[in-house]
Parts: sequence; structure tokens; C-alpha cells
Amino acid sequence: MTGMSGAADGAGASGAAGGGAAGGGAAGGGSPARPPVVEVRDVRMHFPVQRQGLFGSRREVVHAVDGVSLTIDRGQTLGLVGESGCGKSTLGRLVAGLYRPTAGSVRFDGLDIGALSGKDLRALRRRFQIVFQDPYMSLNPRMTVGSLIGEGLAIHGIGRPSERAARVAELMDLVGLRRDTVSRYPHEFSGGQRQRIAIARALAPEPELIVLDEPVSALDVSIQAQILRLLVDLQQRLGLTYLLIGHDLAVIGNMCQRVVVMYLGVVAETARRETMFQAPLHPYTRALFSAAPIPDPVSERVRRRIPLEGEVPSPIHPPSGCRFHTRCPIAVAQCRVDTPPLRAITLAGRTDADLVACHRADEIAAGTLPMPAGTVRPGDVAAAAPAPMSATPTTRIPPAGGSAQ
Amino acid sequence: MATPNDERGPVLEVRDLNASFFTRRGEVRAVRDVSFSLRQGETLALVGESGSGKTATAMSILRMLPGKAKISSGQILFEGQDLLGLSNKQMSKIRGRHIGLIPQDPAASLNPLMTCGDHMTELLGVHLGMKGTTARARAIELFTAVGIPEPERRFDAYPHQLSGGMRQRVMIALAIACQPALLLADEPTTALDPTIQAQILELIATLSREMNTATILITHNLGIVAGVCDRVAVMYGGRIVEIAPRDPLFAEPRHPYTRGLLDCVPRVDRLTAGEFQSIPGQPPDLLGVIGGCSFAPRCAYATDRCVDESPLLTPPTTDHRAACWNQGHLGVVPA
Repeated sequence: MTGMSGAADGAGASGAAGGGAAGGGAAGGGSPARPPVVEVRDVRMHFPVQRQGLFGSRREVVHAVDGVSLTIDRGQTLGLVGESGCGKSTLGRLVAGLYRPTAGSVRFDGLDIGALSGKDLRALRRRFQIVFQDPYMSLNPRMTVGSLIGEGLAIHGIGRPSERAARVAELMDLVGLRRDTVSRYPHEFSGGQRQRIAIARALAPEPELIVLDEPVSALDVSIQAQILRLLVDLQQRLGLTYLLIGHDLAVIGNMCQRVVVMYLGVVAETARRETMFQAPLHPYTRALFSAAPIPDPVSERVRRRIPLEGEVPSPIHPPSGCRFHTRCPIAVAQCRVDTPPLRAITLAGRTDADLVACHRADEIAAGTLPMPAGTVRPGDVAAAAPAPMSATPTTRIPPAGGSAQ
Repeated sequence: MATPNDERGPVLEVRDLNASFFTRRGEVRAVRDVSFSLRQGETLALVGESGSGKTATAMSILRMLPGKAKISSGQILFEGQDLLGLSNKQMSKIRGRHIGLIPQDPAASLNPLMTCGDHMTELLGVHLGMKGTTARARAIELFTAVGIPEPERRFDAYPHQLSGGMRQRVMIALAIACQPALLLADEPTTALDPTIQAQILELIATLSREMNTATILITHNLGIVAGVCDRVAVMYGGRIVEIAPRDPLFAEPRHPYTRGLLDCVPRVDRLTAGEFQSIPGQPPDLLGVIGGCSFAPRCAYATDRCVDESPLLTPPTTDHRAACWNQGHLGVVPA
């Protein structure tokens, strides 16, 4: 791939581009024959909205995705993490070809999705699919399992109708659905089984890439694990490439080779999984880690959380400079003015493939920054196996001021 | 506020509770012989999957089961008084006043046409007879207590003007407004982002500690309660299958289902290459009678006895009890 950080643009958010070659080293020489499965270059997605004001309505723009670059190599899983409104689902839909980007490009196997239309686009669409979060909403309640799974085959004209039935049965086996349920309706299934239907449906046209938009967030934990195992198994058997969108760092960390952390439409940090989990550098990434629950009371007692002040600002008027500065515990004057570029930091264990967009990343990496109380230091999370220390419970909410007594 | 006093009886004692939903397919026994008690200031996590009976148990305590459901037997002693013997009118004086509820989805629980202040002053008026400026002042005090910034301004805000986390703070303020002796939180953070989830759970823990309120925290994820509860009760198929103080439950789970649930939770501190532990199979169908242990069909340790005989919580007199015939020798999976 070509240089990914020089995404010059006039909008003041230059360098907010994220990305890097997934899986260190593999991208360099070797065989330039095949481009990465997905190559997103400085993509923007702006939605116009009508806002009712006192003196009539105004047109405004939601900056849902504002200059993001990333690549996903064949057979890999890229994790996209962030909280509600960070733009991760919009980015997923851009990659799945469901939106045309306002600016920038999304390439699938070297082909610019935005430049295609009609028959060409439809032919390409067959090769990437999407699975949505809520299997209660995403399956047509009036279609049987068989027709839900077979619909993609019919749309893309794959096989004769007689062959399709056999293919549907095969897909049901593949995702662990009983064949004799083929003429049942979605409401007769549990959440986990519905998600299996959605996965079978996505697999039907034999795609190379599947965008998984929070595929297990709506499921019980024991069922979550079943679905995640299924996804891993399918990836190994079929050589699939995944873009996994989620908010649960633990799920992402155990599924992906590479992780991208988004905040308000831009990339805050992107790194190989091990780096991200052992030495996250962006204060927002660290706050996310510090909030991830660990099912072990001993670990929970010694952990410190990073409190985030206030709420995620509006993507209609994103903050100037670093978008995270309004909530960042270590923001300085420069953060309000200059947009931090994504850059590599020299630190043991980090490579040029590990990028962070923070003005103070060097200080954080060097450990010279007086981080506020409650900070998780690199490695704390990774080393949180039973290591009892003097236990003081974490409390961040100021006491109730006596009023509730 | 009273000080903790172990000599006093439990705030809540649920004895042999059974509740059923009557559906077209027949009677679904959602809660089966559930017994537990809760002391002042104690937080119990009630953990289980969809359909395990955890919400039905909580709704039974509030007597807010939907119309097609009925409590068939048992006792729910709240401060010594059996709630099941009260009239609806008596019950409505307890709900919201002595027992607070924090629901899963705050958006669905707040009236979109009422401001946050309206909700609060109505509640304070009905239960405590507060009016006018007194009620307003108290409302703002409570909003401050739950960490709502600019409480005076938020007093006049409608629910849709607040974020999910802020709405949940309003719900918490409403739930604690009358300083209830018992607080029920039904998956209070499931709809929220992770950083907000951590904040809300800690807020609930802090408030229950400060007010010495007994709290039941309902969740499907054992992972999130490790930092914020005193005891854990794990439910499966309508029954409590294990109940224990927090640390021993996490360190030495005795029921195979509890262990399975713990192993299912992916961890940020243990990276694997896509190796997810799961519990095979599906939760049981609660229609009609289940002979034997309801977990047996999914259990790696199950023997003939498990299929035939239903295990009771043992050893009965201790604080760590599990309903499993094989709890003495977990760890040795029969080949």
C-alpha cells in the first residue's frame, strides 16, 4: 500500500486519517499481486440534517466519519471500537457499500466502490456482506428461514432454484441450524439462533468480506461465546475477512489482529492487537480499557478507572483541535487548537504500524506525564491476574453531599 | 439513617417463591422454589440468561408481573411483612416509597411529556407530601447526588434532551428519592456505553452504601458485577443454582453452570486467538415440569442421577450453596 498518513485536506482535520498495514511486515515486498481486501482512504461521511430553531429551521451537517483511512488484509479481522456516535457503524456501512462517501474512497480488492454503479456494483456486492446487531430487527418476520437464507442466491442469480435448496441446507449445517427448521419463521427462534440465520444469509453468496456490526451485543453471554466461536470457525474454514465493529474491548481483543479506536468520527489510535492491549497510548483508549469489566473481584479491587468528564460532544459541531480535548484528563492548550496527526511512537513493543493521535503520546509513553489519579498504566490491565495489593475500592462519583442521607 | 445492625432481621426474605406465566402453550414455570434473603446495605447480584427467572423474581417482589403471570406460592417478607398478603392499594404505597426500581431502559420508563423535574416532584408529592419550592429544592439535591451536571437546568429538561447515561441517572434519582430500604436494578447498564456503564454501576454501589440500602442487581453478565456486589445468586431454569459471597463464587464456583458463565466472559486481561469458551446447547423450555437438574442436558458432568433427581442447594447451613450432585468434584470432566 502507499503512504497512508499524508491525507492532506483543507478541512482542518488533516492527518486524522488512520490506518496502516494489518499484520506487521506482510504488506511490504513479496507479492504485490493482490491488493488488500479493503482499503479505505481518508473517507468522510457527512449527513445533512434539518434542525428546528426558534426562527425557522437550519440545515446542518453531522460529521459522522471525518477522514478515516484503514486497510484490511485477506483473512484478517480488523476490530473497530468506540462508543455510541463515534461513527463506527457508519464506517462499517461505508465499507459494506451501503453509503456513498461524501469524500475519499473505499476500495474493495482494488476497485473503488464509489465509482461503480448498476451491474458492476451489484456484481461486486456479492463479495461483501454485512451482519447487523439486532437479529430481531434485521430479519423480515414474514419470510421463512429458507427464503431468508436463499434470498441472496436468488438476487445474485446463483444456481438454479433446485440447487439453491441444497445450498440453503448446506448453509444451515454450516452455522449449526437444524435442517428441519427451514420453513419456520424468525420469531420461533431465540436471539442466538436468529443471529445464526443472519450469518447463514450473509454467507450465501460466498462473500470474501463480512462486516460484523456488533454481532453479539444483543445476546446473552453464553450465547455470545457460541456465536463468536462460530465466526472464528467459519473464518478459518472459508478464509473470510472480517471487519468487526463493537464496543466490548474483550470481544474485539480476542477476535482481531488489529484494532482501530474511533472517537467522534476520527481515529484516536490504531495498533496491532498486542500493542493495543499491552500499551495503549491514547488517553481515550486508556479510559476505555479502564472501564472494561474484569470478571475477577481481586483484579477489580486493584484497578483504577480514568474518569471521563462530561459527554461525547455533538458531531454537528465537533470540538476544535483534538476532538477528545473537552473530556481529556491531560489536555493542554495545544490540544484545543491543533489537530494531532496519527503518528508512530518510539517505544519498546511498538512499530510503525502502531499509530496514535495525541500530542502528549510521547510523554505518556515515557511515563513522565503525571497522569491523574485513577490512571491505568500500560501493562496494568494485562497484568491484572491475581496480584493482591492494598485494596481500596475505586470511587469516582463525588459523595452525595449529604443530601441523600 | 440507621446504622448497619446485624441483629435486625433481613430487609427482604423470599421463601419458596413460585411464579408462572400462563401462555397459549401452557403454564411456563418461570420462578421455581426461589429462596434468599438480603440484609440492610447488602448488594446481591442476581445473574442468569434470558428466561432464567431473574426479572420474574424481581417483578414478583414488586408485584408487577404482567397480567398473564401469577405467583402460585411462597412468601415475600419485606421488613417482616408478607407483600403477597397486601392489597393493591397498600402495595402501591410501598412501591417507589420503600422499594425503588431502576429499569433497564430509562427511555421507556420516563414519560416523554414530563420534564425530569415533573417526574421528581410528582413522586415526592405522592409519597412524601412535598410540594412547591421544597420539592424543587429536594429534586435538585437528588439530581446533584446522582452526578447530574447543572441540575437546575436539567430540572426543566425533557427526557429526549438527555443522553442515555443521564436518563439513567434521573431514573436512579427517582429510585432513591424516598430513601427506600430496598433497591431493585434490572440490567441497569445494558443499554449504555462501557465507560458510562462503569460509572452507573459505581454510582449505584456508592449510593446503596451511603444510604445503607439493600440492593438487588440483576444482570446476565457475571463480569460486570465482580466489582460492585457483596453476594451473587446464579439462576438457571427458574431456580437459584448457586448462591455465595462474591469472592468465593468467582474464585471457586461450585455449579458447572456458574463456572461455564464465568468462562464465557471474554477478558481484556487474557488475550486468546479466538478461543471462546461457550456453554453448548440452549436454555431449557420452562413449560411444565422438569424432572432432575434443568442444566443436565448441557452439563459435562451430568450423570443418571442428575437426569432423575432434582438437586437442592447444599450444604444448607452455609453461605456458599450450590444445587449440584457433583459439586464436590468439579474439575474432573468425565471422558
